[in-house]
Amino acid sequence: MEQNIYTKLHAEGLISDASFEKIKQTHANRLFSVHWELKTLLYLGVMLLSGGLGTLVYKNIDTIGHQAILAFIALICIGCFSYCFKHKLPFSATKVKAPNTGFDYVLLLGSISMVTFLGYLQFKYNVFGNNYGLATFIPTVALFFVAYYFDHLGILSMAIASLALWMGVSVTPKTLLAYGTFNNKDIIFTYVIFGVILLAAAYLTGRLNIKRHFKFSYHHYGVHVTFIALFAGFFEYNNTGYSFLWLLAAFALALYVFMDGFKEHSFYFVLLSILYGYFASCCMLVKLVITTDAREGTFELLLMLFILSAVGLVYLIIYANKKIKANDHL
Amino acid sequence: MIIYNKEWLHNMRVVDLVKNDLRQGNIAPQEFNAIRAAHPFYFYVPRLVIRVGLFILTLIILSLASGLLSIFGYSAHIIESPAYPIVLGATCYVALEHLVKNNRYYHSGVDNALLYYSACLFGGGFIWMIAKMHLTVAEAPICTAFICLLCVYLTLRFADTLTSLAACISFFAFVYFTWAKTGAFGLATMSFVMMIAAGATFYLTNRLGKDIRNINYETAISYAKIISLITLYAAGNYFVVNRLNNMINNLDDSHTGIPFGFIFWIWTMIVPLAYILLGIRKKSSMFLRLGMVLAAASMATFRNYYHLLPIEVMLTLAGMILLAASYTIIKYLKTPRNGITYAEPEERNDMDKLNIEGLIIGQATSHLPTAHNHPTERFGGGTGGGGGSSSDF
Repeated sequence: MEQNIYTKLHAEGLISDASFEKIKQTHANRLFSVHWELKTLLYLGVMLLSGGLGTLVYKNIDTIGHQAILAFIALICIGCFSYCFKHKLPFSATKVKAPNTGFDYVLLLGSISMVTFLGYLQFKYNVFGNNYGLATFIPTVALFFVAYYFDHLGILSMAIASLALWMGVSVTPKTLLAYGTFNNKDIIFTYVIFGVILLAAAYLTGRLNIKRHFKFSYHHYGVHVTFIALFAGFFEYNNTGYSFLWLLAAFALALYVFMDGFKEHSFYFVLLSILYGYFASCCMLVKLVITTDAREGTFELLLMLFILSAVGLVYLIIYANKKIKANDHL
Repeated sequence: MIIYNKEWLHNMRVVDLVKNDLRQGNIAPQEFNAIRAAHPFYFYVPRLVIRVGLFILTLIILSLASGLLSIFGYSAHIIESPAYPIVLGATCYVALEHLVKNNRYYHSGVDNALLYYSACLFGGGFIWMIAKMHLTVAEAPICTAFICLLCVYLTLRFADTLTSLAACISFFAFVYFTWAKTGAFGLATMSFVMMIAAGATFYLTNRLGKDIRNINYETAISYAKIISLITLYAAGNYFVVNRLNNMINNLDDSHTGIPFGFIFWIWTMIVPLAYILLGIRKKSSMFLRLGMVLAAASMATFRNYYHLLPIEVMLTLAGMILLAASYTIIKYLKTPRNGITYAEPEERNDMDKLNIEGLIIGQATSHLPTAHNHPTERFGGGTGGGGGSSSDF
C-alpha cells in the first residue's frame, strides 16, 4: 500500500530519484520500536517495588525502627543525587536534554525520597516544631532548585504543588475540586494570589527566556487555579453587591489567556479561556436574570441564551483555529 | 457508502505519509509542498485540542436544546412516547449529514458529538419501544441486534472508531443473549461459543483490514480487532467464566470451581503469552500491548484464587522481576536485534506536546507532603503518596 503510493509519486515526478532511494532505504531498515512498552514496564516495576517495600516496612516497623528507615531513605536520596550531579550535563537557560534514559527517573526518585525524608523527620521527631511554614518552605525551595538545575518538568510540578502547600493550599485540579475546600474566605484569596503568582511566573519565564519550556506548566496550573478560585469567590460572595467584580476579573483573565494563547499559538489555552469565559458568562446571565426578578419563562429564556452563546462559541473556536493556523508555518 | 469524498481521503493519506518522510529528512520541503499541492483535500480537521473543545460545546448545545424542546413538549404529552427520542435522533442525524456534506467536517468534534448523540437517541428510543411491548421471549437479542446493525451502518457511513467498537460489543452481546436462550446446554457451552464468535470476528475483520478497498476504514477495523481479541481472551478467562457460571446458577461467589476448570486455567495463562509472542513475531504493537495488559489481568485472576504469598512480598518480588527483566531487555536491545529496537519511535503525536508526563507526576505526588497537616496520623507521609499515585492508574 505505502510502496504503491511512493512508486506512484515517483512516477509522477513529485519525488526525485535520490529521495525515492532514501525512502526505500528507510522502509527497508524500518525497526520495530518497543520503547514505550519497556518504559511502561520500568515505571510499573518502580511503582510495584516501592509499594511493596513501603508495605513491608509499614508492617514491620516495630522490629526495624524509625532511625533505620530514616537512614535508608536518606541513603537513597543521597545516592540518587550524587548520581545526578555526576552525570548531569552543564546548566543552561534553555532546554537541557537528560544524559540517559534512567537519569530522569533517578532524579525523580531522589526528589521524592528527599520530600519523604523531610516529612518523616517532621512527623516523627517534630524537627521544625509547630513551624509548619518552615517545614514546607524548605522542600519547596529545594524542589525548585532541583527542577531548574537539572531541568525536570515533573519536579517543577512537584515544586509548584509544594509551593501551594506552603501557602496553605494544595494545588492540582483534582484536589481543588474533590476536597471542596472553598468554605473559607481566606483560602479563596490565597488561591487567587497563588494563581496570580503562577501566571506571573509564566509571563516572566517567557519574557526573560529562562527555561522557556517551563512556561506551559506554570501557565497551566496558574490558569486553572485562578479561574476556579475566582468562581469560588463569586459563589461565596454571591449575595453581596461585589459579586460582579469576581466575574469581571474572570473575564479579564480569560481575555489575557486568550490573547496570550493566540500569541504563543497554543490552542490549549485559547480553548481553556473560551470554556472558562463561557462559564463566566453563564453565571453572569443567571445572576442578571435573577436580579431582574422575572418569573414566567425564565428557565426557557436562560436555556435559549445558553444555547445561542454556545453556538457562538463554536464559531469563535473555529475562527480562532483558522486564525492561528494561518500564522503557523507549514 | 462512505459519506466522505474518497479522493480527498486518499490525498489526505498520501500527505500524512510523506509528512513523516519530511520529518525524517527523506524528502525536501519543496518536494513535500509539490506533493501537497498535487493532492488537495478540503476536509475540516482541526487539532486534537480544538476537536475536544468543539465536542464538549456541541454536546452542551445538543443536551440543552433537547431539554428546551422537552419543556415545550411536556405540556403536549409528546415526550411520553418512544417516538420522541427517535424523532430527535433523526433530526440530529439530518443535521449531521448536512454539516458533513456542506461544511466538510471530518471527525472535527462537532460531527462526532452529533453522531454519538443521534446514535444514543436512536438506540435509547428503540430499547424504550421494545420495553413498552413487554415481550417475554427475545427482548435482549432484538435490542442488541438492532444496536449492532445501527452501529454497523454508522461505521460504514462515517468510518468512526467508537461506533465500530459499539457494533462489535453489541454483536457479542447478541451472540451471548441468543445462545443463552437455548437453555441449559447453551449456558454450559457459552464460553466456547463466545470464543468461536470472537475468533470468527477477528478473522473476518483481519481479512477486511487487509483488503485495499477498505483502506478508509483502517482505524475502525483495527479497533474492532482489538475488541474481538479481548473478547476471545475474556471468554475463557477463569474469573469471568466462574462469575458468569455463579450468576447463571444463582450461586454466591464462594463457589470457585467450574466444570472442566483446567481448560480455562490453561486458556487464561496461554492466551496473553500467545499474544505477546505473536506481537514480537509479527512486529505488531497491538498484539504486544494487548498481551502485556492481559498478562496483568491473568496475574490478577490467579492471585484471586491462590494466595501463595502475602501481597507485599509479591509486589516487591514482581517489581524486582519487572525491573530486572526490562533492564536486561533494554541492555540487550541497545543494538537493534531481529528488527526490534529500544530507540524512540520517530512518529510523534499531539499527546507528546502536552507534557502529559509532567502533569501526571504532579498529580501523583501532590499528596505526598500532606503529612505535616496531620501529625497525629500514623505514617501519613508514606501511604499518602501511594494512595495518590494509584488513583491515577
